[in-house]
Amino acid sequence: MRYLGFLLLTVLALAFRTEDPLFSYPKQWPKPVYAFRNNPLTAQKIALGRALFYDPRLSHNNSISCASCHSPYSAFTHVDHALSHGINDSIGTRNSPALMNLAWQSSFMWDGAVNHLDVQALAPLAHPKEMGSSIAELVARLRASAHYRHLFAAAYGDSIATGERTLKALSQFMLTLVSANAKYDRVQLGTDQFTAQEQNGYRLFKTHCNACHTEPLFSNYKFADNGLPPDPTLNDYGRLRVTLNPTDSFKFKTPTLRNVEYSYPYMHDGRFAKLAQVIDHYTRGIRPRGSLATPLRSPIVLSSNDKVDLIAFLLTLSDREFVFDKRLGPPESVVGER
Amino acid sequence: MRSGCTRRTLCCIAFALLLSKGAIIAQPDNGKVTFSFLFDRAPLKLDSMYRIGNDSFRVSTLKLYISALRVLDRAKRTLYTEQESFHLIDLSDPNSNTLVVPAALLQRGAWISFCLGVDSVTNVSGAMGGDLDPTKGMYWTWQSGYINVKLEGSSSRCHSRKHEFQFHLGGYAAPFNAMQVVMLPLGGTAHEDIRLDVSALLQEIDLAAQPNILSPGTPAVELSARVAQLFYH
Repeated sequence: MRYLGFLLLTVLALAFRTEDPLFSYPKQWPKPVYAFRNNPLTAQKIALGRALFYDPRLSHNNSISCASCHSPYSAFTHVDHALSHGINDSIGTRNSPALMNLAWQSSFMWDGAVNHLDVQALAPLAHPKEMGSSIAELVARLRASAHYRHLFAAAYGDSIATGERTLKALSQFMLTLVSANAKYDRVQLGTDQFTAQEQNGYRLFKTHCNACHTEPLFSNYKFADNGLPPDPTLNDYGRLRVTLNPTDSFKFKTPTLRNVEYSYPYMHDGRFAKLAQVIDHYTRGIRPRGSLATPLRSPIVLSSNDKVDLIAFLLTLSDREFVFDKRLGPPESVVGER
Repeated sequence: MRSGCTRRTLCCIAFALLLSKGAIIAQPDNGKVTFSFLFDRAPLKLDSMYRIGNDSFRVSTLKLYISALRVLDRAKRTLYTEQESFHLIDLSDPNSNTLVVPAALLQRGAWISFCLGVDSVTNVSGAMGGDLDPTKGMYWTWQSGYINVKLEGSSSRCHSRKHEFQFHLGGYAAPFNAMQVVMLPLGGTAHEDIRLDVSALLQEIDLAAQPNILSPGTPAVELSARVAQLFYH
């Protein structure tokens, strides 16, 4: 038994490419798009970024940290809330995305308003319904904190916080949020097997879903209209707001399906609490319009058994190692220290 | 006169010649290019109240990026390209309006070229430091991208809240790339002053109809072009 365990570990280790001990991913995956050469990973910068990620001092009244809406135990998203809430219990306008595999993404937010991971944090920092602060306020607080001066000195050689250093450190931590160890991944490696139900679900997935939720990242990260009727209380037209191009109306960024078991509710406005509701949308809820994604223009027909099997497959994308990884969770010394 | 005297005289003449040459060498080899902002032909003072005709104007903030500084010869061939060329000119910081350029290049007939704003490659390259640090208040948070020109204040011509106008001009993605290239002839002195009269700009804008431009789009591009055209030397 122990021998098998050792064999398993060896196979897993060989399957992962470890060009960088701080950042590894399966050999078969595409190359990341993040420009690491402009922000090479170091353990100290990652530690600084991690301290920042879990620190509620990033918000104006010290109540909201990044982890408030991106909790590790829910695959770094905000469970239970259709629309995230921030400072002073304000309710925002969108569901918080699950953070993982960010090095493979070239645009961020549901409408791609942010074009680089390094500047993504500026948005929640300054939003009056999220953290209600600013990068300038944060940098002033970091400069005044002995704890952070120590962390900056370890990371950057001197203790001075700047906007650039703060943002790049946060990026470094976020880049380490790699999820590649779900049952699905073990099956691809040959070290595990799908049940008959999961296998059928995988077959259905490849037929109906793979065009946009492309393996192995389970998203092509492109903007698409998946036929959701607009919510008249939100009137959110997605990417249109960013490009001002009418053909981008109703287009939102395709999210990853990895860890979808943990990241409910679903869609940019969290309108679906259960995966069954998501599948029902795709089989009978699609609003046909000019911008509808091409793969969705022919009807998707699934029997009740098909739907159950498809969900069984989606559950094989859950990566328990990722959500319980202590290295990604709150650091031991958090807040408390000044 | 004996040969000794002649030698001394010759030495004196030679020394004098050397000194005069030395006087040129002793000059600092750094020239200055400064950006000066005027209101109705006088230096613009932030928060001062100005009157033109029946209208009043006050400028509370003026910040803009100058980048990609180059000096070109008469035939517009590049003589000098400044490296890491990004400068945040902030009217509230009197030290921020001076750029250093090798004085030898500032010849009459030559040209100076610069960009008003930040180029699109830098706009998609993430967090930067120095004058480009996001703590400078010139980077949008809700959408990625630099604010090339920030002009804020108030005017009796605005019907907005507190009669305020706010122009945050930016945008890097086609068709709303707001960055402008400016080219001006040089006067040939070691200190070149590039000027912009803000009153000319404010009088051209229909402040009643459009007191705010706060996002990328056609208005931002058009107003950026007008700002660029108003630089003179």
